[in-house]
Amino acid sequence: MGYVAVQGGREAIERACDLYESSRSGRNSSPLGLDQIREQLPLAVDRVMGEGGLYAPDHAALSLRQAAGDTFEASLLLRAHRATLPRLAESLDCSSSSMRMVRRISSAFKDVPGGQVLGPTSDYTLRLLDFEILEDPLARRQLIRDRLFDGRIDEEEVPDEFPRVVELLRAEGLVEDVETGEDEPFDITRRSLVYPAPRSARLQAMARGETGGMLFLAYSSMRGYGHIHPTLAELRVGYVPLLVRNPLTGEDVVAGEVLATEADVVSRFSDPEGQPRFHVGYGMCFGQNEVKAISMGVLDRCMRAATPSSPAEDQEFVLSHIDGIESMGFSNHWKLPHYVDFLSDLDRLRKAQEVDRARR
Amino acid sequence: MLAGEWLSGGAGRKTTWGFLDDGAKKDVRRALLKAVAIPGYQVPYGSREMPLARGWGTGGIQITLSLLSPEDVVKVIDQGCDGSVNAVNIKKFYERVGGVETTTDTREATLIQTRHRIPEERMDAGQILVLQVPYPEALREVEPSEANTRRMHAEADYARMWLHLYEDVVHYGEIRLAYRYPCTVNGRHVMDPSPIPRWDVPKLHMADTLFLFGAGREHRIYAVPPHTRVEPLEFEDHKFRVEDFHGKSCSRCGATDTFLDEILGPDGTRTFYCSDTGYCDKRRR
Amino acid sequence: MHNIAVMATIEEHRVFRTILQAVSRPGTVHRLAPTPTRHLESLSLFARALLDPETSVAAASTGSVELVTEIAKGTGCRIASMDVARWIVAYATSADGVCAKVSRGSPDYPDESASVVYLVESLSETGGDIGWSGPGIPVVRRPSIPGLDRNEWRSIRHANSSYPLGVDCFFLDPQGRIVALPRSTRLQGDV
Repeated sequence: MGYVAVQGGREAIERACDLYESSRSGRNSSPLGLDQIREQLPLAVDRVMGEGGLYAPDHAALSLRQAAGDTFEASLLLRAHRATLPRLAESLDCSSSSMRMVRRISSAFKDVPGGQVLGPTSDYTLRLLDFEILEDPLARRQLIRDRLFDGRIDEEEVPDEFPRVVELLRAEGLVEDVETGEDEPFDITRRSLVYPAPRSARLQAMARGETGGMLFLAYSSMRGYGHIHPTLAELRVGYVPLLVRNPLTGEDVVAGEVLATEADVVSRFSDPEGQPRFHVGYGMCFGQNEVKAISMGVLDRCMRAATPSSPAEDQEFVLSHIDGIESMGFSNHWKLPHYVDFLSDLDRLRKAQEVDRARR
Repeated sequence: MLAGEWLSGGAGRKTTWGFLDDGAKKDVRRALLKAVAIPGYQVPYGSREMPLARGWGTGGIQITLSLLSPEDVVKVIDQGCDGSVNAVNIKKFYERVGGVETTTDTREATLIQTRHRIPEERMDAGQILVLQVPYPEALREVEPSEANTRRMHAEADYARMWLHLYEDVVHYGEIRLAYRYPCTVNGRHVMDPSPIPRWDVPKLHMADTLFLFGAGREHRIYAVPPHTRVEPLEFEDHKFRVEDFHGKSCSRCGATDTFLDEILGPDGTRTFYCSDTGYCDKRRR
Repeated sequence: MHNIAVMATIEEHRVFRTILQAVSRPGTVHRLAPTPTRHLESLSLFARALLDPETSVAAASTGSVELVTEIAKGTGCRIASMDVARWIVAYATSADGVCAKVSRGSPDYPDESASVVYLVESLSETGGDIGWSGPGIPVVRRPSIPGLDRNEWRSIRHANSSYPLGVDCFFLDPQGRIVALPRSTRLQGDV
């Protein structure tokens, strides 16, 4: 009776876990160091931190190793770990204009105050498999570092603050003001989402959303299922300060920094009643995950469409289906035995066939 | 400090008794009280991630962990079977985080967590049955939007569900709903009883036991208190019927009054066994 | 052997289990713990199993302000005004028709309503003149809830007159006994 054997189930399960552990850890290769995962697969680590909803690079690296590289599983491990952690404090609002910039581009203007900062990106690489990095000797890495930092950076030239492009547009009255009408942000980790969902809940759900799922929905809207025509006013990757109020002294202190990606999307004006102004969409997520931040910005705009006319504009449709941990878990649950339900289905089918025969 | 110690939060930090943190437990408990006070109504709650994938019983687990006591004797079944993979896994988890005793005997258990079955033996007032739920919304069959189904419940507007059943009768001469059969609870809310077969639905009606339903992925909790009316939707001329096992019996224990699993043999023959393996074992002893 | 923190956690689990049994079987008397001798002790047991900073509490009248302050301090629960608080603490004798003044939830979310905890004297399962029936009650029960006057009964019945909107009530006595009256219970007799 296979996987529902009355006896011996427990032992079979334990052996299956051992087999997984054995195949995951490899035969003769040395164990992957967390530093290797963190430093050499940083985008995977960032993705898992975002979807797992926990900013913890070492834990994310460990979860990737434990999940054999499966980002869905790794995010689940991280989120399940998160659920056991006490909530020590709530961070304060912070503006991303004080972001310690790693990368910053605007596609809306040729140049912007503060300048275009390309930063680390594969956008301009030729997508040829690079057999030179097969060995990746230290000497080669040193050569690149020397090329990068050999007296070329003049610290004086790096501005302390980069004004947000969308704020410059806003100052000229070109973009809408988005009222959230909320005093306190909604917290979907402690309350179930309700529809219509407030904007803070929508943004939080998307910040934890699965990259591929969000890309799919945003892409459907960009391609034609929807009427949003986005321009990327600005995309930033950098470190934002984590501000916390000291409960004893009442003083605001910087408790650390969080690497984040932020996207400001503006879209064509569309409100025939109101003042003609660009609409905006906002995306932000942990780590460097540009596809996700852009998708989030587009979806944020889509979900504020006055009359939803496509899947990406229907907030319940989007928010109910972008969580990777929920969708992955449920899709996998079909592997569990369903023979009682199926027998019940068979009973209905046989009865309907009887009726059908009698009718003919 | 060692790396492992640092990553797990330091040597002093242990997972709390019963695994869930205090905030999570209290949230579930408050939802449970509302669920019992409004039988069949789905209470939203801030469902937490469990160390099990969503859709694998995380709702049931959160309920069980919020009310577990060290004195409890716990039984976990899946499709009626104590030895099913996921049931074994969940049972192991309770032994580990609550130090509770486990059993396969329905009568011995104080707390039973189940997926897709209600045990055959009648449970008593001292026992609680926790059901794992994939789809908490009975009306999802006819309406995909949560905002709309919530409004339908608010207005007790179940016309579309009735129409759905009626159309089945017209087209197929039978209602096609096999499991997850919709029921009216306390004369007010239409409820999804979880994917139990129709066989088990009458056991919910005027029972001695408290039934708690947990849908972790969908963030919903609901309940049927003891001695509460649970009536499957049916028509005057088309009555609700349970699965037909007429003329069949369990090949292991000979029972003729239990829900039977159908096992296909290599030669096309069919053999029947009790789906409730604990009860079947007991009858054979 | 468990340490003190674990013992406290386990006690909370037992207390909640008792509250759950009480609300599942309205009108029956249960005991949260064998130890209490004062209202504050009973209420603390109840509150520790259910309240935290995510929820809010209010006093029904000046009489219960001190208790509410204690409970808020002990659980981190927020103190809110009566019309929005999710938990209301009232002395039966000075409750002042509290159920008429608290949230009964909305048609879409009837669970977003208040629960009222009445502090009363010795509870017992018989001797009351109001019959309780509904879910959890196989045969009409007549529990005795000392100290609750007509006005209070009327406010409860009125609050629960448009089910599923309503208010769920819990009665606690100084000895740790509890009786629950969820909104699904129908009250018969001269209220």
